[in-house]
Amino acid sequence: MTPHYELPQDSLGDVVTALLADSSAATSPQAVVSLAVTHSPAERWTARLRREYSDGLAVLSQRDELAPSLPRRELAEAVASAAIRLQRNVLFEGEAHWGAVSDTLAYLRDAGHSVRVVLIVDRQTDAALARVTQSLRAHSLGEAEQTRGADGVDLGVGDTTVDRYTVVDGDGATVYDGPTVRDALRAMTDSRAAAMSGLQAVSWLSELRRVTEHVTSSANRVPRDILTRTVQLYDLAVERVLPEMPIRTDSPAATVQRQRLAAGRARVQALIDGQEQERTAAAAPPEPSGPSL
Amino acid sequence: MPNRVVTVASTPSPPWRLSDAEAYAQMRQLSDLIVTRMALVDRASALTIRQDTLDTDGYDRSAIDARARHLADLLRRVLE
Repeated sequence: MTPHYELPQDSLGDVVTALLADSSAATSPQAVVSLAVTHSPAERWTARLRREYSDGLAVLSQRDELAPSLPRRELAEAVASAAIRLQRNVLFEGEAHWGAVSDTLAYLRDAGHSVRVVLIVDRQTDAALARVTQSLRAHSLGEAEQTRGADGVDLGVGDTTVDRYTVVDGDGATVYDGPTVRDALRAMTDSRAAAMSGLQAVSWLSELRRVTEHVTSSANRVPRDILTRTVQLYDLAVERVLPEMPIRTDSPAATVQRQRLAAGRARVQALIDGQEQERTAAAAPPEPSGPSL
Repeated sequence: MPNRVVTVASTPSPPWRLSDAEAYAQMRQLSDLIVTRMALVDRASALTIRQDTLDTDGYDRSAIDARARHLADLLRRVLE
């Protein structure tokens, strides 16, 4: 559907005016969309984007708090129309799916805005650990878990709407900034597989130890899914994190670390096995209880 | 909305360190909460809070934590 809104003189108009007041007219206005590819909220790079645009960058958040009752699409289209009329830079922040804004961006591009897509990509190791801690936190609070990041994103390869891709790695560094979707995809792959620094690896292993202490001592029964993902973290630690640390694989430090990881993994696996035994026992038919002689 | 306030204010610290991404997401959530409450009565102040939050570097942990502390103080004042 093609947006066609004129800026109305009602509460929607007030909201759009307030959002766009954060930027001034630009000679070459841009429409930017940020997408979380893995765990990090796409909004993390917003401050740096705003500093980059000397004309200012009006932000439309995915869950815009200034107009909570308005349909998201209606607000986006109204902002797009106003941005075109007023020649403003505008950022659609934290869009989980490309499809959510592709029509709006095409509309902006047809009207003279250039379109830029910013992709936020965590390391696979960091994202895996963060997802487990997020799940544990939600479980301990009795809250529904919020899904964050798309874990891969359909960039609409071949889509001619996009003029510029920017890929940001897990440390907030720009690893690609250019027009080619193929190079952007390569940068995304590299960012996911990037090695941690020695200090980051030590911190990662320390967090895994704390997670293990929590799941093995928690008064609340930790769901099997989280336990399984914790075991997978141990596998990741052995296959990825430990080899990336600046220590020799045959050193005493590495040997001790491998022993610790094996012990931690076994503790969590024992919880899974215990749950499985309970489940099997509960599902088993009751023993026939005939009269005893 | 008040239930959400209680949740944010009384969340126990987990035994693991909150990741930078989680800390940033929580800070944004706290800011959204305040802005939503203030937008109906004081749109200009709500916009200022929103802009200051948007300008907090999501990769600077000390800046995120400082902003979260400021917002927590602000939330207490808003609720008084």
